[in-house]
Amino acid sequence: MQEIKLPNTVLKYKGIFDINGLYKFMSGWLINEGFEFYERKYKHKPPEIELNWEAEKKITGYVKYVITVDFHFYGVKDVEVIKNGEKKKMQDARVIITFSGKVQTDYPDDYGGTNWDETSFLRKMQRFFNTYIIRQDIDFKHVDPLYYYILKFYDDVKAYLGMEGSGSIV
Amino acid sequence: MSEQMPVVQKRVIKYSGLFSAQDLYRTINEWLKDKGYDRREIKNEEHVKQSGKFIDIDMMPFKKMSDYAKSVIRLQIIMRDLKEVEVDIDGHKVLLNQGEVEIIIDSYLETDYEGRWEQTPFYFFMRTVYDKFLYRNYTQHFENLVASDTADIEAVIKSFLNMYRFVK
Repeated sequence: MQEIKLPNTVLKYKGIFDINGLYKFMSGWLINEGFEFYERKYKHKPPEIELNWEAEKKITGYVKYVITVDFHFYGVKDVEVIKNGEKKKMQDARVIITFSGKVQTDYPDDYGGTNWDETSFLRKMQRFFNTYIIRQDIDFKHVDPLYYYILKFYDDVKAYLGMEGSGSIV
Repeated sequence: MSEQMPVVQKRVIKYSGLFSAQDLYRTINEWLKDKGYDRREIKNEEHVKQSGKFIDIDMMPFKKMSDYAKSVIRLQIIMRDLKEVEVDIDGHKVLLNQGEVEIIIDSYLETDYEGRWEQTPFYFFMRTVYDKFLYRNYTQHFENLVASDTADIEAVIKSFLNMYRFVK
């Protein structure tokens, strides 16, 4: 298995927002886009919450996209706000969300086996195949689209939080 | 690692008064899309305070000009004490922001961005010779392109902010 990692993008927000709503929005976004979604870490230690998500999407029998989202909520306090005339429970908190992604080639199957990892000759073949034969395909058909996918996800999260630096045209 | 040659350093735009933060962000993104730059947002930070919002956006869009050279523009956008205000323009009520904005622009020419000429010390030496002597005209040409793009984005931001200078 080989991986091409994409650069991280960080979102920081401090203010009043709905953590449950954000959780539902982000998980819903990934599920709607056809990702299989796993929560690798859930640490609730008030006033801190730490989460780690990994979302995977098999594109072909050889290529898979992986999006990783790390959340760190600090100083979470419950507050009651009146929104559109209704009382609503929200949280006053600080959050750091880190988005990262990678394109995996020859990803493990359901039983953990990979086709090109069995012998050193096959591993070298895979490196040759990825570097010289399908390199442009991987770059243009997979790495760039995944990068813009993550950027769209990031923009949608910013818009959900009502941040001023949102409203991209990607 | 690739080589980054600074082209424009610390060009600062400061503005205080009425403007639309979302439109400013959109204008920058539109410019990047028109010029063929790939967006890269390293950080987007927003703090909601009683005195207004504090926003810190760090962008590093890039454009591959050839297989060897890449133009990188770094934009640091800092907004302080940003509040929402309703303004009457020609009888229409418009929501704008009032606050301070500071934009710092730097740009670089990044060569050998795939790091192919760094595998051995000999290659590294050859790359330097190539950059400084053999490929000098091309490097100079790429630097001029980066400088012109930087001047263009600076002019776009300034003219955007100037539009709001006379709104009361």
